[in-house]
Amino acid sequence: MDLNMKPSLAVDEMFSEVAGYMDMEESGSAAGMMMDHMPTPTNDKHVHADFYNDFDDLFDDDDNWAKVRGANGNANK
Amino acid sequence: MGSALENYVNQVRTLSAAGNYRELADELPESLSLLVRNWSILDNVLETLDMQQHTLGVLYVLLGKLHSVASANPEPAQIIQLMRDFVQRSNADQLRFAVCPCELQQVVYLVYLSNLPHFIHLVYETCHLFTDYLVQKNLSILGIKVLSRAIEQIRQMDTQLTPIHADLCQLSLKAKHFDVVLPFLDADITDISTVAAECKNQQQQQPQHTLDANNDAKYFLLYYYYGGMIYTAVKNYERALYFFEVCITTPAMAMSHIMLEAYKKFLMVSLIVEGKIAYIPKNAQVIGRFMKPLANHYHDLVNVYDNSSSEELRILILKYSEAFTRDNNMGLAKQVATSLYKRNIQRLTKTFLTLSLSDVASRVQLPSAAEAERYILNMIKSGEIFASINQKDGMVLFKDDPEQYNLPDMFLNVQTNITQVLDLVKQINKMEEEIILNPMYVKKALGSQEDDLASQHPKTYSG
Repeated sequence: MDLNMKPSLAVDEMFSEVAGYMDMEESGSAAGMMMDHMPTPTNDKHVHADFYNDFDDLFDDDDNWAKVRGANGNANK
Repeated sequence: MGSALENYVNQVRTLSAAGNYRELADELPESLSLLVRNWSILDNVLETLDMQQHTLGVLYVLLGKLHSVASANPEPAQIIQLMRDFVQRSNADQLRFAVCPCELQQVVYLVYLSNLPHFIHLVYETCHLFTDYLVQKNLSILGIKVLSRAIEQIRQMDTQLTPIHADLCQLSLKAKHFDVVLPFLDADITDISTVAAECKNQQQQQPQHTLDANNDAKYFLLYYYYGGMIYTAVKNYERALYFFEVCITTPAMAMSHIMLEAYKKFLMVSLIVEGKIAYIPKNAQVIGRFMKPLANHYHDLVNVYDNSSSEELRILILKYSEAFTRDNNMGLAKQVATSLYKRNIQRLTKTFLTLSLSDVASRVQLPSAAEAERYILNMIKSGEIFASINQKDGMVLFKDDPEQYNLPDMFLNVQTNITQVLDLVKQINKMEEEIILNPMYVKKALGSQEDDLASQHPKTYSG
């Protein structure tokens, strides 16, 4: 065994990852109530096609990618 | 001033003075086209009206101005000042009470506003038009404070959502200025002010009610979509994920393009936060039916991310760069790539005690030891890993989390979190009680129970 390696960790399976969520399908008509509260059109399959979404790319704020691309010889791709 | 406009002014002044707001509210919608046609002399009209006494009349003039900006091409400063004056000088109580007249306890405004069925709809419409105008003129930053003030006046509590919230988010995103909007976003919403609900209270006609309901849904989705974008921009990814989740899991019978764009970002932010697709409640059927087929590139990204190979992920992002750029998601795709490098470095800390920087670079597919060092230093700084770098021999020593959970600060932190959870439980119980006591809910719940009983115990006949 490599002395630099740590012993493998035991996984704690006591809590399921999804245990904390309520299954909406089992919650009676809660979803139906939400539908009443926030109605959406039923006639058209696709709606809100004209909503405003013309923003600059707000998430491109670091130069990691440029460095990685450049170092791998793909800068001009 | 033309005689038709003089009539308008006289009508507003006379009916307002007499307190005959019902008639005024009935008459004014027909005057909107007149105001739009006479955009060039609307300033003269404004000079004859008082912001407080003739709020409704001024609001229609403002609406007329905003409807006619394409032809009138007014000075932007003038429109902004007018909107600012209206928000600041119109009676704050009137605006707030207009949201829900039924809750009024006191006299004057109850009479005034319960007779104005279109009033709140107009305030919202004015804010939407104002937002469109500023975005078009590239002056978004000048509307942020005006709309935040409008929200503060109209909402009944800090946790109430109004359609203006979406406008404020839009202006903030466009201006890339988030200081004002973040406190609004940080408040967890417990109540929604919708045009449809107000119209329903005031027994509007059905077609208008349906139209308003559709717009309410649009502005609700926009708030959570734009809000998620703002939190992503400031790198509060957990909160961003929650906002996108609310947007994509809103019960719907049709696919909204707002939900589709939120879904794409939800997938990417999921990878950054959890390294996989975050849990989606099963009731969000619209996702499987409509959105998944339209987000193939993003699902490919999720699948490749799952392989933990940064090189494969890099190649895929380059392959789909046109689509990601078209969606304005290329920057987020780069954040996803960065997150995989970080996740792979974190994996190393679970396996190794020491590693050379060049080994780290090679194992996580970074181009150089220097790049690996930069990543590790950033991760140490942000508390994502615990390690030290020996510059002399270029070795990294990975350490365990030094937190022993035995300091007063940590105790205070745990106590604050417990209090927050208890408050949340109280809030949920309160909201549940409201739903259980809601006559519509009782009617539906009883109806579905009867249906269930009928299907479980079919009538039998013996002869």
